[in-house]
Amino acid sequence: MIISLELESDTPLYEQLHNQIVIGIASGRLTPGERLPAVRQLADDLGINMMTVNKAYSLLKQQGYIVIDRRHGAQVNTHFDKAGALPPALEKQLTFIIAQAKIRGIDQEQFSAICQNIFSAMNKTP
Amino acid sequence: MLTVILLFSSLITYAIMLGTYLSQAKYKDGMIFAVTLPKEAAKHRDIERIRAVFKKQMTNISIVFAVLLIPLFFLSETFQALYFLIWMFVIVIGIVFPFRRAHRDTLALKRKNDWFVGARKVVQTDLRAMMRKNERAAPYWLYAIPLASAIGLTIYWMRDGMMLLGVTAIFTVLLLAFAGAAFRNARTKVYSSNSQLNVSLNQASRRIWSYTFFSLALVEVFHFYLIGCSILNENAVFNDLWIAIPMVFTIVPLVLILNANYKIKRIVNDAVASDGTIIYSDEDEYWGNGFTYHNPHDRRVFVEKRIGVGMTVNTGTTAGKWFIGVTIGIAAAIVIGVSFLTIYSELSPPVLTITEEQRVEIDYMMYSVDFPAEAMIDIALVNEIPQGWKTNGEATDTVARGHFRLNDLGKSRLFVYKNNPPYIRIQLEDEYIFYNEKDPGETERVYERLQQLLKR
Repeated sequence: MIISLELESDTPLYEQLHNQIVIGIASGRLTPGERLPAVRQLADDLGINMMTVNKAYSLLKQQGYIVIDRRHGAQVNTHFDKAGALPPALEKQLTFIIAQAKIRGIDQEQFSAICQNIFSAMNKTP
Repeated sequence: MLTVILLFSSLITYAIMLGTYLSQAKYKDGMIFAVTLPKEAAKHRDIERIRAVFKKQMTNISIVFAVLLIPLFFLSETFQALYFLIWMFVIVIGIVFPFRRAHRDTLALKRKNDWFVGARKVVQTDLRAMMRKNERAAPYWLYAIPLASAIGLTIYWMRDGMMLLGVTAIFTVLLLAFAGAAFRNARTKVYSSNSQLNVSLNQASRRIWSYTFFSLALVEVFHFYLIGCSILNENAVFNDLWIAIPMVFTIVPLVLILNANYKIKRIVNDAVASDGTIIYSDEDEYWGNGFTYHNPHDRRVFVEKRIGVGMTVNTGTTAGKWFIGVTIGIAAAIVIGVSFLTIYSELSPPVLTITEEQRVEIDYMMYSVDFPAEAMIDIALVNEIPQGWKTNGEATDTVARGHFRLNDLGKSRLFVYKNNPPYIRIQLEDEYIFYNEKDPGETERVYERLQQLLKR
């Protein structure tokens, strides 16, 4: 899976990296249990600071998307909590997005359509 | 003879320079004159104009440098070597001017017409390719084979006084291993949005390069062996053959490298053509002159060259700056040092003196030798010196000074003006010494003094 980071974006690099990996897992481009490169290797290859990659990996580990152990390095988690409920933090973020959409005149139907497109894009084979 | 070797070297230089820079006039790898451009821009009228100017300038410069080689035929061997070094220095700097001009003009045109390609200030990689890119590369332990061979040769040559040649072979193998490692650790290349393709292309290019470097190590150890055999050869009949073989052998590494480059380019082009989506990124600002890379934000010390074959140094890193500095420093030291030694040797020739303690001393730079009178087994005045090879010293068309291996005689030290008989031949226990003065009469007088020394 391809990681592409914009150096001059408003979004910090660690956040871009974190988000792309999460989307990668969701869209199946990163499979459960798949090995991820070591912090140093990824930092060298992208030409960014090791601390940046470390921060992204720590956040991913904290949120349960990846596991890191000394022997095998970083891996995508094999087992996600498929409870089917949206954690409160995510629901809060969604509220914020919907609010901004609503102010821009997007109604519920249009928003659902947008969501559908995004979902189907993620379900497409990589 | 030297003229032939120098002309051959200049031919190689021409071929490489012209081949590298002339090919930049075509739209290749998304670039013209090392400026990333979209495909449509390449056919623009202004680009055509820049190309025409470039071709004309290259033709003119090539002719000028060819003409500048003519003095080689009229200089003595000593000054031929010096002149050639200066010529090399000037051509390397001069032949780039048309290209740099074309690069600058194309860059200005790009900015004026806003012909930017792809995303700027974006870094990319392919995670899967990164993990698997070295799976098919040659393992490091393979280098133990050429290394052990080189060490073996060094030990084998110690008794013939040619350890230096063996040490050079060891150093060459280590250098090639280091280059192979640099290629292995190079950044993952993102060829397209298809991850499978990225994995296979990264693996293929690393496999080809790593085995090429390993083959080079083997080939070069064998090459050193051939050179050693040439020197050790004491059969005059085969002299010419032993000169030709190592020289011709220099083609082998060149062929191996060009072949690797060609194979990889072909594999990549075939794969990308069938897949369709190449990802380019616009890094023009780091490639200042088109072929030099300066990026202080990039940690890599070696990066793949944009034009030509191989890798170049990132002058933005401390290690990179050191690398360039040391390389230029060594080159300058060698050129200045050799020039100095050359002039010095012209001004202060070898001198043979017999000391009060009945010792014979021949004083000459770092090849001085001295021994007691009793060490001389035999002395003679001869009119010919057998043919042979220099192992350490200087040998031009007028003088031969230093350590040599002569046919039938073996290890010898020479302090002679060539083609200027007679020569004094002194036989010691483990080597011969040949000595003469510029004036034959003086040579005979020295010989008489030695004869008297022996009688006592």
